[in-house]
Amino acid sequence: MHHETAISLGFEALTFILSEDELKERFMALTGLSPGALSENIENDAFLASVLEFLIGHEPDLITYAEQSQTSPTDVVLAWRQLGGGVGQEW
Amino acid sequence: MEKMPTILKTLDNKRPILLVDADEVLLRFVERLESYFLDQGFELRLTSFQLTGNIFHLQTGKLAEPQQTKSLIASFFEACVDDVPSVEGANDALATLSLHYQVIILSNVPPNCRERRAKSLAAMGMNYPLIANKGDKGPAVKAFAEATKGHTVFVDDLPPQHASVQHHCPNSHRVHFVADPRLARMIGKAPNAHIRCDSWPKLTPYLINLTEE
Repeated sequence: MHHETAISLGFEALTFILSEDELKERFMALTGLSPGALSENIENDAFLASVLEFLIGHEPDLITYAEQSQTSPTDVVLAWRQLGGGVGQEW
Repeated sequence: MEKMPTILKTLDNKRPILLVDADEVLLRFVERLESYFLDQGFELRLTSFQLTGNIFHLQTGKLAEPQQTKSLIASFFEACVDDVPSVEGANDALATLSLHYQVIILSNVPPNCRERRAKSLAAMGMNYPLIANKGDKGPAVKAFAEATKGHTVFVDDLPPQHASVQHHCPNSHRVHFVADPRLARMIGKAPNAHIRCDSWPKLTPYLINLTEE
């Protein structure tokens, strides 16, 4: 997967999370990010990887997102890896 | 007619500002341009992200001269400025975003066409102050950013405008938006923009979030 595709998938995943109140609250609590800090982190690969990791970590969310955005859970994982997620994890 | 100094005076200095381009951001510019060119006997071949060098005479197959390109575009605005359809979701997005931002449309529309464009946007539900800018948008964005303590967000399709805005107003948040999917495929994120997003429904929750402290 191209880096740019991964970034765009990461951003889409973020907008999905932000548009669902319950998901958004959980995401903000887990990452400890204040909404104001979003704009400072948006260009950071590691941040977008953490967004994708949040979805990957909870299968129902991952499936809902994949369905809504017409992507596949596999692509979400590929994008996460492209953005530096899962380094050192062998499976 | 609204002029920039007048609009600047009416702004609330505590609320964030959203500066949005019109062509290829709120309006399906290229699509309408293509059909106008065909009526004039020219074909727009979208092989790269620019107009110059992509306009061909239908009968001869020859490339339009730079001067011809210029006058075709000028006559397009004269003929069609109030007949350009809106981008999907743009109207709803601005309606939602206007609860969080002071929305201003910053368009490089020729000054003599400004009034017609404003009326047409209003008729499509996008009744926001419209600035007819000329050339680089950086200075205008800077003037608006200085009028508020809140965020200033800039949305535009053209990479050089993002460079200009970053130069004049580095604290602005810049969104690269290309509505036409054929054009969108030809160009990556503008280097001077923070994010690339070509969909209003997707962009909306993100922009709302930026205003939350």
